Amino acid sequence: MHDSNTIIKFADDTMVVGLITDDDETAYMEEEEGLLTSGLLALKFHIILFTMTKLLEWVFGISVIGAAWALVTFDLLGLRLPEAYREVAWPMPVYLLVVFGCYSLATVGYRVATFNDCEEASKELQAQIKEAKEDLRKKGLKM
Amino acid sequence: MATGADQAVGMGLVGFSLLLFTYYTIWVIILPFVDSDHVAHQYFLPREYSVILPGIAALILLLCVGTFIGVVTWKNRKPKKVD
Repeated sequence: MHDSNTIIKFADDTMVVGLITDDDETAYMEEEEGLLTSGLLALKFHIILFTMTKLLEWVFGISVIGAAWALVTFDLLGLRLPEAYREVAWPMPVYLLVVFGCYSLATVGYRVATFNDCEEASKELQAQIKEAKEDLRKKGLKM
Repeated sequence: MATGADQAVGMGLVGFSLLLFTYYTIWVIILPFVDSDHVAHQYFLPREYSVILPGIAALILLLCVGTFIGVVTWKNRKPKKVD
């Protein structure tokens, strides 16, 4: 506590009003330092929150969809939807997985079928490998 | 373009996954909206199997992957060197 001045802090720590007397700014300086550190802490916190956002986005999105599914499947709000819609809803997670699996399989299969084979390059490479093996065998390396 | 066997296998995979997708989609999404006395229902198993069968398939897949890893690791085990 310094006797040289009076400092009024507002409830959200955003403003400091001081009355500096006798040209003694020590209390004011201490106050400033405190605010600076807490300001930096707030900045750090906001930076961490922003770098987490992509993950948070995904988690949030997936939990919203999951909540909607659970609502329909287990009838949590007692909405009593038509039987057909509930029949469609409850296998949904498994259905989406199967569809994803089918899509992956189709993509892999298609790319295998349309892959660009280079016959001459393959033959050339095999000839070079044979040549290299002969060369090394002559120099005594056991294959 | 890929040759012979590659093309056959690739297109086979595409065809198989299209078939599987169509059958499964009709089973899960379309059948509930079809009258229960329609002839289509006799081509599909009861609804529970639409979740149980993919579950079993996933387990078998995991088993195969695990076995493969186990076999490869076993084959590559080397006795520790004695210095």
